[in-house]
Amino acid sequence: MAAAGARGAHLSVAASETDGTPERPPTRPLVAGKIGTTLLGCYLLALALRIGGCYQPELRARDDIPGAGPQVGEPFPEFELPDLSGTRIGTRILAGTAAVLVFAPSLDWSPPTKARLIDLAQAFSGRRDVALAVILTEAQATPRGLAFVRERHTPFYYLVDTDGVVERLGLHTDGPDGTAAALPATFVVDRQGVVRLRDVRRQARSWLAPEVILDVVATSLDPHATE
Amino acid sequence: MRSAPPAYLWYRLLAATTALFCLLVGLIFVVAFLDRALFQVFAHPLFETNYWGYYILGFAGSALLAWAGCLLSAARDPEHGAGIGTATAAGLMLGSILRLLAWYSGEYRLAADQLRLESAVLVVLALAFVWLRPARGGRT
Repeated sequence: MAAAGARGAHLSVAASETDGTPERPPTRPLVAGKIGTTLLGCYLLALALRIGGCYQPELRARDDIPGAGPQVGEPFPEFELPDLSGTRIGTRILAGTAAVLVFAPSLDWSPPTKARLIDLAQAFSGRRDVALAVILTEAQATPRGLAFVRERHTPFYYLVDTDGVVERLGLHTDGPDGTAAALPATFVVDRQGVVRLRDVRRQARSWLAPEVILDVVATSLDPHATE
Repeated sequence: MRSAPPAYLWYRLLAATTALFCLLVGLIFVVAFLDRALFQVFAHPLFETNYWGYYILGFAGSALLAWAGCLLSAARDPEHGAGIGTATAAGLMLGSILRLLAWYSGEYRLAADQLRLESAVLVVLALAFVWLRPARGGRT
């Protein structure tokens, strides 16, 4: 009905123009469109202000699965896994220095894991006295994950778990596509191979803040530090 | 005796300001591409990206310059350029959504909350275009 009216109005404009008497075309109602756009804009504004809560670092270590992985004060179980170039890296090579072992669910489908690693890489850039190893399950060594590694130049060893280490430690879970993945976990291991910090989470949406890890690393590097 | 302010003063100001911003950013992008591709005038590259990134920058810079031209024409003649305001609002909304998605992707972690801030600014600008633009075919 309205459309027919608008067509009629256009016809009348055309007719009046032929008569030489210009006539303004009728104003089209824009209020509905404005209100719809405003609602969308308000939603986007709220999202921009609140999206920070989607994932973020936390200052407190968590232990969502107490039975998974070694406890603080225990030696980290021995392992040896290939990195992306095929070189085998393990507890023997990491011995003698502090090490941060990061179990990462995926560098493909897990945005918080990417953010977590970028945070960690920034905090540890230039540190030669600490070994950082990211452990991925074999199923998560996907081309997109490897592209992330290639582009970022992060100071990590990327180890692919071809040996079932993640499962032995009880840190395994299923990814959204049903493939095997690791739970998000972080362990700081001192020079003697003893766990100084453990942070095991069910969800990747929050992670332990790098400054907390740096503090524990500093303590485990200090030869005068006491238990 | 004070003269009446020109019609759609705020819309004109908004369109002109946005046009200037587009012009500036577009020029920087085009200059960055030309510097990388041909002249190598700057000691350090303007953007940390590869040759494909610079190609996309040149492309985006050209589009921004064209957009700035459209906005300037809308600022000069708001009633006949109302559609430009609508298109600009749509473009700004899309830009806002893309920034939020970029933030969520985790890949731009080093940009921290800059993406969220940009997203909010773009939404506010888009809403300003929506509410200040003239009705098509005449004044509201």
